[in-house]
Amino acid sequence: MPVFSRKPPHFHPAHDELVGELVRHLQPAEGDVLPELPRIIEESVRLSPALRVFVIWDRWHGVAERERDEIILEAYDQARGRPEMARIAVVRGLTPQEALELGATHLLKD
Amino acid sequence: MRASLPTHDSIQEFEGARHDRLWDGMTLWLEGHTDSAAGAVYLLGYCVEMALKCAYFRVLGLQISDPITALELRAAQAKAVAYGVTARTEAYHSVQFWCDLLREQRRAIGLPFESIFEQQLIDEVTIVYARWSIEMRYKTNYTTSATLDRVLKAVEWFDLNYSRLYSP
Repeated sequence: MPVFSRKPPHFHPAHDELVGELVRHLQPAEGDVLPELPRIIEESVRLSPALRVFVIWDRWHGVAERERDEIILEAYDQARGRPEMARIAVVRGLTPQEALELGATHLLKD
Repeated sequence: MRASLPTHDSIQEFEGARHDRLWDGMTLWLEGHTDSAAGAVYLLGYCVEMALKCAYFRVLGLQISDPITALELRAAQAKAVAYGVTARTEAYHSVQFWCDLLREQRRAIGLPFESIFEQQLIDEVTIVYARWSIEMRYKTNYTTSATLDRVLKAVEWFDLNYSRLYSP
């Protein structure tokens, strides 16, 4: 009987591509001109090494919330290493529209 | 009563609840009625869940009063996936899930448990996992006094070793 290797069913077809794009933003090569989005916001937690990470990105359309979290963490793991990823206490991927709807406008400004 | 409850969860609330449920469970155990065994196990299982959950958030670096919201819990689940933890969260109550996540979190930051202690932790969690579930509250009492005694022994181990779970 043939053996089929499949990723977990919740994986979005662009999962690896999205991870790769985030890695590019987290670890830009010299001279790399990056688009405005994804917008990565790292908030430090008071008196703590922990981080809250928000990624505003129009490419989240059609990607389940849970998978967005996993994509962001995978990207941090690849770009910054496991100890840095381990610092993340909150991770959230939102489209610009979702951020507006949540009233999280501070995530859209510099 | 409802209005006086804190508005958010935090390490200090979980740790306070851990102590309260320990005494609640011990009180039922001291009564010694077989009819109370399920109630006692149900309360004592919470102590283990709280200990593991608090240890994870302490290792993560949260302060004891920092809010632990649905966002922190969701991130914990995503990190478990990233670490390769396969235990299900069981609505974030699974002692197996929190134990595996805690072990991997410590490993990720370069503070793995010493191997003998880690094996003891796994053994005690396995014992509690097999005997306690959040779903017990909806079930008839099938708990024996032997089960209660073993869970109590595990809870005592957690009480004795709690600070080791999150200390460097």
